Amino acid sequence: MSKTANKGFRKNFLFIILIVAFVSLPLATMVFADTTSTQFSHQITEGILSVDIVDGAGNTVVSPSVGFSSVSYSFVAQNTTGTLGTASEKIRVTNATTTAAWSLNIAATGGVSAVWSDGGTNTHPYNDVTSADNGRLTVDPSGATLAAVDVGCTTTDITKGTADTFISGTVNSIDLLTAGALAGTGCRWDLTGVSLTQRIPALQEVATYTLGMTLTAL
Amino acid sequence: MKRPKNLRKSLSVVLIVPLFLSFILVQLVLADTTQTTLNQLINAGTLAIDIVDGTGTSVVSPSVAFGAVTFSFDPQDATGTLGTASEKIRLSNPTTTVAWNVSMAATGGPGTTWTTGTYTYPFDSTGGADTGRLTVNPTTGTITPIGAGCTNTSVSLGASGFFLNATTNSIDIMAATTGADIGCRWDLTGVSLTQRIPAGQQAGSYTLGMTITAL
Repeated sequence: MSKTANKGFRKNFLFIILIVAFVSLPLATMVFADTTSTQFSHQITEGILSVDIVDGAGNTVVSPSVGFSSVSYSFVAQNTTGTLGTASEKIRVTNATTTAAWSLNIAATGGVSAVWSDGGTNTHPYNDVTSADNGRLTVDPSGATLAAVDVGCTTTDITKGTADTFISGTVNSIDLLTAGALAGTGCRWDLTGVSLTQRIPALQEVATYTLGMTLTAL
Repeated sequence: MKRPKNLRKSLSVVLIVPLFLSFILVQLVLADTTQTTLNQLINAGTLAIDIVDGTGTSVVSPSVAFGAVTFSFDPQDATGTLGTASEKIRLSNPTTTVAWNVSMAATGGPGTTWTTGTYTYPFDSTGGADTGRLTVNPTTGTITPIGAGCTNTSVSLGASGFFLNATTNSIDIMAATTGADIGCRWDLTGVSLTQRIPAGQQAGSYTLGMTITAL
């Protein structure tokens, strides 16, 4: 065999080897591998809408309270003021549902007939129908601060309520916040700085008065 | 004319002898024997993986439903089980090769996400377990050999592991090494699955396609 013919033979032989190798590789895969598929699934169900009063760390405050400014006995009607929602007692609304709209309001726990009371015989109204000077509580959320708690959550489409005064039978609850259809879901918001002003009737007896209030998210 | 008696007798002998001889000849012509060997070739089959029901029939659309969880502002776990009585992972080895391995990976590859169609989150996040990782723990599983003479010798369960994009893209769940039987099938059930769901993940029905490979 000539040198040229030998070279050609080797070239052809190498080509055949390569072809065989190329074809056999997929065949080997076909023989030795197999797959099957399955679908994993899980459900995250929506949570609930809730409201709570939490401390700076986000923990529930066991016995939340609002201390109004103290006033002295007076022969004329006077105001005492307080703030609902502070750094250590934030009003936290949690919307773990898939429904964007909700509202938050405040009302007396004892209803329209509730009164400020020292636990004894001294009382005065928070919602007097006759006159502001007979005892009325004004709530003003307009100057409050609303902050979204979670990353990706904003205060978009959540509006603060306007100042309003409790009047029995007419204004039994006052809106603090209202979320519209564009508000986020799966979010939490903290409300602080809601102004409270109680008009105390003239000649109200010296005592420590309390009034239970309930915040409702719905 | 009356034939002679001897002539008739001779004629009978002449007729009977050829008849007798012809019987023998016929036998010689019509009877014969020979021998042959029957050959049967059984080729090795192919290694196969399937998900079968309790009767061994392929499950058309196998699935694993994790336990439902409620929306949470904290990371939480959803758990499931791969391989149940009605959806067993069946490895068939009709080959002559002893060693094989079964692994699991996302059908869509690394970076695939759990999805509702609207909301998504990872199964292999590199940003921390709490941002979405799927842990597969085969050590809780059970391997059952199918067929007489088949055993679990040299067939083992994989170790617990979690998917981590580009680092752990597949997880071994079962393997056979030298000493394992051939011409056997094995059913695997009870592989624990735990998906860490990120905090604040939106409510919905999430799915993730997974592929099990034997090779």
